[in-house]
Amino acid sequence: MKWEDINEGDELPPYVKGPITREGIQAYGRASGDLNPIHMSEKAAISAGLGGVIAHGLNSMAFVCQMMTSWLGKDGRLKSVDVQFRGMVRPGDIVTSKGKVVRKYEEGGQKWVDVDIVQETLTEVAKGKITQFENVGIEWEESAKNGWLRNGDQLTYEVVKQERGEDKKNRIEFRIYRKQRSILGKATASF
Amino acid sequence: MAEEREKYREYIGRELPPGKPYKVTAEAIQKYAQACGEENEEYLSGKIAPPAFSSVYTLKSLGGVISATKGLIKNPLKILHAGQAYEYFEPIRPGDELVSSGKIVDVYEKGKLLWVIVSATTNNQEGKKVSETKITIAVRPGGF
Repeated sequence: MKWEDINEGDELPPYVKGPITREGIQAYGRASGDLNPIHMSEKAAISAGLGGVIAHGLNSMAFVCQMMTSWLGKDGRLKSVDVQFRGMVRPGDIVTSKGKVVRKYEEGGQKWVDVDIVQETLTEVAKGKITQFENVGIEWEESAKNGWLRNGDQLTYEVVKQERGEDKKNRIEFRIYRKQRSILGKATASF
Repeated sequence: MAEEREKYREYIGRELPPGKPYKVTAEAIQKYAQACGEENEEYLSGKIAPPAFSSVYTLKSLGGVISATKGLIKNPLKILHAGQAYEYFEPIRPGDELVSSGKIVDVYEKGKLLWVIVSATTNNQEGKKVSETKITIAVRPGGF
């Protein structure tokens, strides 16, 4: 990405990772040296009151760095990144990093852009099927047993499969996700 | 919200014990790049460290945070990693030997949490600065 081609207000291509796995979290722990039991052991994470293992915040931060470096390519360099960890990432989560150019400027003989960062995490809390038209109803295949729903959580859904049967009923399979922010932050790139 | 800082005055400015030098290898870069989901071939090959590799060497060379905060944090399981910032100067390649020095820049209570801010500077074997790091941790009630 060339500095000349960037405009304030531009959005970076969203960078999607996941679903996060327990094995992946453990591999991150071994590679980074952070073997804190809240990441490595289900039992320890539960006894710490977390309900289960959580991913390393620094791995989520690594996704932000990856979004920046893949957007910049060979033309620009990631100069700084500053994040606040706002929500926990858990096995099964889909993690999407997003960025928006908020400032483009020249300073000290160099060219710069500042990017605001938001990282959103989707946790599957339920999946189900709806048969529409004649018998409207929802059949819950699985309750929200793996969810960590709290007041104020934002929910979103995805239609996994949709078909119209010979009986002219629509059968829709869907998943419901809790959406939260795992990271808020900013980054600066130099050119 | 008011920040209660006075009773933590003695910790503010305290230097962390110097960390052991960290020798960068292509294998460590590869292992980290793979584990953190890196997609860039240059980083996956281990030729140069991705920016997020800072998390490895700062952790390895900052073992002193716990001892420098002795008496302050009573239960490490109550620690939340609230924030992290990196500023980059020189690229990091296999063979580099990195030394970090850190200090506690702020300690205060706010909103029932104890906040501890640590900063660190990492230099390479040529004495050139490769990065600066700021770590923000929050300790939940019962942990301090």
